[in-house]
Amino acid sequence: MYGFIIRRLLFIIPIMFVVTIFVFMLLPLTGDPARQVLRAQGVNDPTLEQIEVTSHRFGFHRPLYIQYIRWLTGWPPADPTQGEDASVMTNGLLRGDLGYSYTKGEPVLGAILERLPNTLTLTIAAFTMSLAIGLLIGIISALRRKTWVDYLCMGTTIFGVSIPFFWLGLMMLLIFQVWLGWYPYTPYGLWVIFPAFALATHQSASLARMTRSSMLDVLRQDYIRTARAKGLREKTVIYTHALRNAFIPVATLLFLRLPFLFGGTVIMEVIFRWPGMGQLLVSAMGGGAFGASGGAKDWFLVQGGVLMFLILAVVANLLCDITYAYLNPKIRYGESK
Amino acid sequence: MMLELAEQITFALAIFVFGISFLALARTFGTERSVVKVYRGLKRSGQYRASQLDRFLLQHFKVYRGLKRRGQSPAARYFKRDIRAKVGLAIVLVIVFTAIFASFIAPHDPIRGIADDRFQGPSWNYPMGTDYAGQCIFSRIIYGTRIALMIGALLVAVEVMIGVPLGLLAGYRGGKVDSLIMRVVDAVLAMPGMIIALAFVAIFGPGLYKVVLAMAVTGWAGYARLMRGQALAIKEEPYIEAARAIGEKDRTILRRYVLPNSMSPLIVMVTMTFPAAILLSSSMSFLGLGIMPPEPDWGAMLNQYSKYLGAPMPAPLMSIFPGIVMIITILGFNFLGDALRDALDPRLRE
Repeated sequence: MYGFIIRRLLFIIPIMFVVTIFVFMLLPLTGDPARQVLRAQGVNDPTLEQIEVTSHRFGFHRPLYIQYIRWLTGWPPADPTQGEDASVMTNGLLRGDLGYSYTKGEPVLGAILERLPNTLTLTIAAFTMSLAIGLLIGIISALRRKTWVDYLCMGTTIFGVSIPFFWLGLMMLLIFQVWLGWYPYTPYGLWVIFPAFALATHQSASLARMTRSSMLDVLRQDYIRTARAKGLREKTVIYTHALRNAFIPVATLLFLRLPFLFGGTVIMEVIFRWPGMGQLLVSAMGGGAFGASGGAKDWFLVQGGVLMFLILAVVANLLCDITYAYLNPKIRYGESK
Repeated sequence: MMLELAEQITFALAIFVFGISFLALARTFGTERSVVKVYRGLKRSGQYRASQLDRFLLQHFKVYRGLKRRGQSPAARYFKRDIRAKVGLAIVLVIVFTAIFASFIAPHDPIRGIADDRFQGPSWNYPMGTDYAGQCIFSRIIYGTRIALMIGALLVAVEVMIGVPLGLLAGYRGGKVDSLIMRVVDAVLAMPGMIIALAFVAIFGPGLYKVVLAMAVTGWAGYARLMRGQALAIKEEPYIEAARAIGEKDRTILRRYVLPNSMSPLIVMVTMTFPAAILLSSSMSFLGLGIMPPEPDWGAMLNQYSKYLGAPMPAPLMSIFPGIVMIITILGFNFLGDALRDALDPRLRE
């Protein structure tokens, strides 16, 4: 088990390397970083001289690999003789400096960390909700196979998988905010249930379908027949023998769907005006729901937001792998690979 | 709306992908049937001795035994009986039909609105009402099927082109190639595809092709993983050994032996890619980072219409119709995919 965890931790290093390169390249890939930065500052029609000065101030005139090393570590430091300005540059990710957001008027890291707890609350709430609902429906319909309960549950889940969840969010907003007036314009605390529910429908529906088929698969196995034959109570058979084994493929699906959960969080934050990183990220990319789009792009903020989401995904994936190994003895005792 | 040349080509490609998918489907269902046809033809011609016919049967014995009764493969029989297959196929065919003949079905121009007819409720002239620009919502939704299908088909084409060869190679070669490719695939699968796609659209700008490419950046990994599993299993079959024994090259083995035999899960995955593509692309368009209005994309429509959720009555209706059409479309593909999976995977048949 510990060997597995250590191997898994080591695997993070190359992934983080690729992630940082990807995030760093977001700005250079636009082709004209200086112009982009100027636009975020409100200069829409810069002169050539302005572009020249800006690209020197931010250090964009250097070769890409030096820019990357500087973006990552803060070394080499800004060189004032070349017109580089340490106060505006990104002075090293590892030192906790992701640059300055001109649209927000504050350092990127601060803006993101301030909203991180909200995003985590929403994600965890949606995850818990989908897990609870999905497992419950899946198990019930597997145990009551080919009865009206099963047909009702499976009919609901295929609808749940097919509803575009952002549209569901819009409809919830229409009902609970516009018509009933419950949901506030500046949500906080327990209001997280609304976006979390809209996000969890899709997740829990696919989870329920998976749980059902996996449960049915397990119930057909010989060891279940053995357990019943030796006179165990039905409850024991279901809870200790069937459920544990059925959960392994379900866990795989759960982990495979996790990245999707982060994407959904972004949309839900925008729709329900939940003040999280996703909302920040979308507006920094110049997007937004409710007809707002085509705004200026705040690239340092985009870099910071994308980086934070990718880190979250990597960490979540790591936690999941460890849970999975814990659930599945084949991995725990190092049999696989 | 006149389609530009590039869009016409793309649309033709989309129809082509559909055709290929249906052909592959028909083949998967039909190969076993054709064995019987050939056998009967040989028998009737009377030119062959019984022992020759026996040999022919022996080669295809397993297949033949299953279909003596009705001359049809079990998969096809199961598929035909499945109510989900009928409903799903019907919906998908209606959508494809609508997309092809959009210009004949739509009562109004999807982009040029009539300023006097803004914010109207549903009526005979405008079945779903009009929006803030006086555009007919029904016509826009009709034309939206084109965009949805184009995105789905293009995404399938790109992802299959990248994912399938890589997956087959990883599974068939094994060893270092396998672990290298699968490390990358695992890492890509762990990344939130939508956020990466949004970032790409933010960099390269909105538009149909860019959205498809942005979604494919992470989407190919699913195909690679699937095909690797298939190749791993098929590699051990005796016919692969036979092919190797007669000196076939690896590339030929993969193309002529491994790929055709892993067709059924691939078809299921292709079917399932369509609803996923529609869902993801419309979410991106909804966030204003996908296909931009005035293009009649369902997500882009919702982006604009959601602004009027709080307005007086006919206005919130605008946001309801595109969503319902999306549900029906996605439901159709999901039904079809489920039915196909159950029919093609004998393990799931009850």
